[in-house]
Amino acid sequence: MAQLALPRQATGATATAPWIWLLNAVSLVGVMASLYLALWWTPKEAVEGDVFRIFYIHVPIAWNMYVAFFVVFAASILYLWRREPIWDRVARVSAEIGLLFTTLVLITGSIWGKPVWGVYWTWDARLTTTLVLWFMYLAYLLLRSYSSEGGQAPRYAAVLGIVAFVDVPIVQYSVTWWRTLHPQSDILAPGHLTGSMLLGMFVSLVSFTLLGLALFVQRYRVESMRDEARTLRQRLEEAEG
Amino acid sequence: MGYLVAAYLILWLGIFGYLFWMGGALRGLRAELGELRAALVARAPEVPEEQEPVAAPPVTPPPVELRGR
Repeated sequence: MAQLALPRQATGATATAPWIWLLNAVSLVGVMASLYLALWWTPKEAVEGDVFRIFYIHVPIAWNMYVAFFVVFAASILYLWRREPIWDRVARVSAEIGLLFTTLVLITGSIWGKPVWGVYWTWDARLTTTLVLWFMYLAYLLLRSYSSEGGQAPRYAAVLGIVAFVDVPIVQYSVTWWRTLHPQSDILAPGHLTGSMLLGMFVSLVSFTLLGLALFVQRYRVESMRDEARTLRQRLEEAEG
Repeated sequence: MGYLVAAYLILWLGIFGYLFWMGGALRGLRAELGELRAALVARAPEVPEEQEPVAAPPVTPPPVELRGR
């Protein structure tokens, strides 16, 4: 029987693997459970009232933001070191997810700020450094979008991915280093949250981390397929040309 | 209460909007990959089937003529 000289990469499967379905299902159930805990099960906070419930989503998405940018940082170092395209792809995908979470952190934080501080936005150290972070990763993604494929773009992006991460510890410690309106970051430290509130926050943190992972996996698949389509197009052009 | 609803609504609009966009991109890419693979298969040169090596005939000693003494 004759065989066709189809490129090896072209035979890659695009079907969703069972473990991806499982991850999606577990993260969905976890997020539903955390919503129930945050909105109904946990008691109303004594000072802020129901507005405090925003923290059950604000803190986990801020955590996901840090994780996503750490992945960009680590993958950028690995790319510069090993020059393997997989690390460039991981950094690209993680930067996009990090930017999504940063946007949501800024919006949910502003909504919480209005009833508590009286304003949606103030040039507080935490808010300002987070906004700077948002602009840096927006610049990273714009660099990726507007530069031609291949060439030096992944290298420049990797350098930017490493430099931009410098802002992450500044964001985290801004509430300690400067006098700010923003609450301290040690919300999970002993004595801050107790009982059901602590449990609600913990479940939210775990389920939103799984959701972030599920988003990363899905987005990575899209990016892998895009790269594969690019390779196949090139081979087709070569075959025609 | 309105602020709480707004925060949760925006969060889920953002996440589901992103998922919706990714789903669309995934479907589009699946279709594109299918077309590209089909085009490559149509253009790929056929590799001739490898022939199995023909076994050499067994070496047999030449017949020895028996002569009477």
